[in-house]
Amino acid sequence: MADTFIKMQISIPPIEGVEDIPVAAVEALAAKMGFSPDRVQDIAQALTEACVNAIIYSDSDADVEIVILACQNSLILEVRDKGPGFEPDAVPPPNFELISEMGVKNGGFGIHMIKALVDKLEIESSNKGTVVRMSTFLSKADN
Amino acid sequence: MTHSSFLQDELKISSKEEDNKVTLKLEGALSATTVPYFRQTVQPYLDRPVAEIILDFAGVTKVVSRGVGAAIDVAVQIKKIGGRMRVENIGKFSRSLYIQGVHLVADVPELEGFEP
Repeated sequence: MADTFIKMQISIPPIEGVEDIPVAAVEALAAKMGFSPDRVQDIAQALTEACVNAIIYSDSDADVEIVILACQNSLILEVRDKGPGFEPDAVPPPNFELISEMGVKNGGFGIHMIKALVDKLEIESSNKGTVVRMSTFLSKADN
Repeated sequence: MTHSSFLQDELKISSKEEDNKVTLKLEGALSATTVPYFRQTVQPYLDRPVAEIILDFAGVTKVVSRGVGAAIDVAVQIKKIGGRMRVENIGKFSRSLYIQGVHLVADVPELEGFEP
């Protein structure tokens, strides 16, 4: 048995609402690892956003996979879908001035939110699918 | 995306109106699934309009960015017609709402002086 990290994997169908199950599991894990309640909430919110994006933009019936890597000092979450992909660098940050004038007609700012909630965000995307990798590191403040 | 009849997100909204102000108590998930219902419920108060819409988040169990976007949109629409929106009891969703800039378009007492 490996003692440097523990890997877990959950597959869910692309049905909005089902992501609550892996999110609840990750919340329990993050709390057990020693993350503070605020950081547990950040991790849960980031995972929710990533899963919902994968579900909403998935064109196929293929499952969305959530890969969890629990290391001694970090928690790495991957959300993998088989959707059509997107260009991560083409997603602009929210323009709050414009939003205050025009409102928000559709969608939100999921990627922006994830970026703000975790320590490191990596996105690999192609026309065969997307992997969103979110890393959060345990800090002294968590203990 | 497909929908499941028994696992999909649900949102209940109850309203209380007083002195040209309406308080909408949200219970459940403010998510992509429930945003149409949220918009549909709020729209009559924008059409009339009322002077203030208060969103009470005490019963909210889950928020996604799309839901927050819809709340921001309501705040912007009511502001345009001379009203205002207030968001109360955001609790654990403070950081998520702050990141999305809800406090820039609505009164959010819990985000006054908030440091993320």
